[in-house]
Amino acid sequence: MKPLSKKSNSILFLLMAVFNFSCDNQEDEKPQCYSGTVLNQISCNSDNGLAFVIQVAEQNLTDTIVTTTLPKLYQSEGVKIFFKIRKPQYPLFCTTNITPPKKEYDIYNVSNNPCSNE
Amino acid sequence: MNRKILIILYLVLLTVSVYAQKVSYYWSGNKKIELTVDSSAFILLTRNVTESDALLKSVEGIKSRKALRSGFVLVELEGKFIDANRIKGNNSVRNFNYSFRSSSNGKFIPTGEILVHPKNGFSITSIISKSLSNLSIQSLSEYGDFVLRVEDNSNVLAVANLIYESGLVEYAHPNFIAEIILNQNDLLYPEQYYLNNTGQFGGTAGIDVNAPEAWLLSNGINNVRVAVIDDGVENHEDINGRVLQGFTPTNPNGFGAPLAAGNHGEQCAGIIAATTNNTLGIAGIAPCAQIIPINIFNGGEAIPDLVAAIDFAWNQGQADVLSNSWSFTDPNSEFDAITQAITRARTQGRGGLGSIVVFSSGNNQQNFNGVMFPGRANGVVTVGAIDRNGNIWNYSSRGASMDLVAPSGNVNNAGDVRTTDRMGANGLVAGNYVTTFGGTSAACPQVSGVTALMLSINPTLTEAQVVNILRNTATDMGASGFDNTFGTGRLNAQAAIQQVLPTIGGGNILCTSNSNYTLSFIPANTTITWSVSPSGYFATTSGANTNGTGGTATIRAASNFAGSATISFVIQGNCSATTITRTIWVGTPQISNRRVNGSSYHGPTHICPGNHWLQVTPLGTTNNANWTVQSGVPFFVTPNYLDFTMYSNVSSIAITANASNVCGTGPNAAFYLMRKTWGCLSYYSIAAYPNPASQELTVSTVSTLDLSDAKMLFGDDLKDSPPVPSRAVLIDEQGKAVCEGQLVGNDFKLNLKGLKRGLYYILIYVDDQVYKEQILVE
Repeated sequence: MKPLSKKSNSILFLLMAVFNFSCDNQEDEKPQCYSGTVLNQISCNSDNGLAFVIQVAEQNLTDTIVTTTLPKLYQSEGVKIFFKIRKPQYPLFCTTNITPPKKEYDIYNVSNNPCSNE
Repeated sequence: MNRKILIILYLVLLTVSVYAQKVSYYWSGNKKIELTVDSSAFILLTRNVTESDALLKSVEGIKSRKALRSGFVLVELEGKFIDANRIKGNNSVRNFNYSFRSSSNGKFIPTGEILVHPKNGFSITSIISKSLSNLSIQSLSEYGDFVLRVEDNSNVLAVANLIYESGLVEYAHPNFIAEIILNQNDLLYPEQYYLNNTGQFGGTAGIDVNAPEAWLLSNGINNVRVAVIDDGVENHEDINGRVLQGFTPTNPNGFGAPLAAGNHGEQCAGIIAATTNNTLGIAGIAPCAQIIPINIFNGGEAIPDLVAAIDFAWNQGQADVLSNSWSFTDPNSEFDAITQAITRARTQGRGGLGSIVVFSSGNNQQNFNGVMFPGRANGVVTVGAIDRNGNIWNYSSRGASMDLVAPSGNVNNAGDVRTTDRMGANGLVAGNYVTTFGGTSAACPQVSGVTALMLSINPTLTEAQVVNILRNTATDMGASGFDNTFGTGRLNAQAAIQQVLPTIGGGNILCTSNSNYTLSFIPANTTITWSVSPSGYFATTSGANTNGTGGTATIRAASNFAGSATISFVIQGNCSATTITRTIWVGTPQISNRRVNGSSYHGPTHICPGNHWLQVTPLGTTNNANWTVQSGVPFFVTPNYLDFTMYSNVSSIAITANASNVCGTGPNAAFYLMRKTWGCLSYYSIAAYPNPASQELTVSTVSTLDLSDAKMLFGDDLKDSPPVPSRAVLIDEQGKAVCEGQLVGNDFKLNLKGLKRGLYYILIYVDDQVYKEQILVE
């Protein structure tokens, strides 16, 4: 096979770099701080535990999210929390009497106090 | 007044007024039970299934058809039935009638039989006189209960009422196939539309899983185990101690019990296993089912825990059925470890016969295409959800791995499925029962319940056999045959149970030598007793008997009886008993359904010169009737029909019919036909149409012969043209005139507007004769 030229190598490198960046999870890279209210437990489950619905205050996340990483300390209806999110680590399964959640995240750095976006 | 006079008076009254009685009621408990005609449904009996299939192909707007006992077919229509005469006039029809509805809207389907118990001192032959030869004895129980058959089912109410009103009987009422809804006393059962959809909550009648029809066949025999892999199940007043110790993969002391928030498993368990007919709660599909609760929502269950749950179910839990109303939420989730556990259940469960694994398809259709895992795993019975009108729910996940659908409600606690709730303060609501269950979660346990019922009856079926039966007996929905939306169709409990019941082997006809009738299989741990009815048809010599124990009955016919009889095997298991019956013919054939020109033959009959036809139906044979016709009478035979000509110079004709089977030739049934000497209508017929009618009824006379033919047949009696009726009047069931016809041209027109729906009679006066026809006004 004929070796690639220097120019071809450079183009290939640039394409791969662009591809890698586009696939990266920006939530992991630049975690944003959210606030919300614990609504209720729903009949979903994963390795992490049972699932809770959180009403998110910020506009850039629609309505509610479902998480299985809500610490026990905050597992009460109406509790206000501050948290960061990332893609869920484990698959979620639910009973089939409900519409499955559209937005599912693992939440972390959960606190009663506002967190920083820095 | 002595008994003889009483009987004669009764028979005279019966003969004179049988057709003038109010017929929309029957007697029971010494009171009238009122019924209304339901012209959106009719019952049909033909000689065989092929004939009914062919006949019903020409009927438009059939909503559903159900095969009932004794070969009847119940046909429900989209609207009212408007062409009854065409069905009734078809040569293959042995019985036809409209269905009835009670005041509480329960469906009553007349079978054409009357159940009678004569008072002491009165014989059944006194009650059935020669003037009522359209009544034949079907059977007699050892307690003196007779089943009589009316040749024309449309008269069954009137005849039954007259027999009762004679005072000669303890009781006399029609035999109905009544909807089981009237017999289930579970308080919420009338609201369980998924089991028996009568149109409650605005649904469509018949969009259900045919549960009561299945229970008519069997409520189960032996206990059967269903693992409910869910968020736990605990005992319940309506499951009555049948929740066993289960398993919680993440808690060695959990034993499958629910956590505080868990209610879903309890709701699934009720659909499967709630006790029936206990005046409490709901009716479960398989009341012999024992629940193995397995809690996979204890919190933090990983894939190995789900695998352990499935393995516990078929292995330690010895579950026959695994019911799973859950799925992963990500369409890409798929785990070989779970698939392999399912395969182990399907191949190693039930001692190697295979446990049946049932999953809901998921509620994700609005987000993703395709059945959710594990519902799409290989070999799983996948269940989607339809609404109470038969439409697929928009949420119901679908795809190539679909198997079945079942009726269910909406999701997110907005459903309408009635089922069990956890008891007391642990429940979602007060009262131990919920009314808001739904989703594919509520559809899945219906399939699990029917599967449990099947295995309760026949535990020797393999997993593949059970799954094939479920698929093959489903009621097709959507595109013809399998489709990705409905799979093979709506779960049909009745058809599935019919497939797994034992059958009784042996000949269709019993003669005067010993014959064995044997159950096709005997479920383990059961006791079997058998009997025959009416016992008087059978001899008890040479080792034959009329009752006994075990799976084989050795019986023989008595030499002096012939007729239809029933052999019954009662299978008693550790949960319930099921009776398997088979109707056989005992002895030589009999001729029934004697008709002259379509009307029942009641004895010597006067007919006008001309062409006529006779009809008979041989019973107890597949052979056609043999006819013997008086010499000099032209005739032509087609199977069980005989066309002949009565000339004006012949005063009477005798024609007989008989039939043969392996036992010999049955007795002759005679027709005695006398020539009318006056008032012959000669070459025309009378028509009243349409029937049923709603706006207007027309009465016409129509020519039926060429003038040259008519002259040969009628000679001096010939008239130049069909006579115009002098009067046409509609009377109600009490004989009161309700509408007088007006002459328009050569026809009479009757304006029916404003008349109540129901049965009436049109009286047509032509020359010096009055003709009568039953009319249904809608």
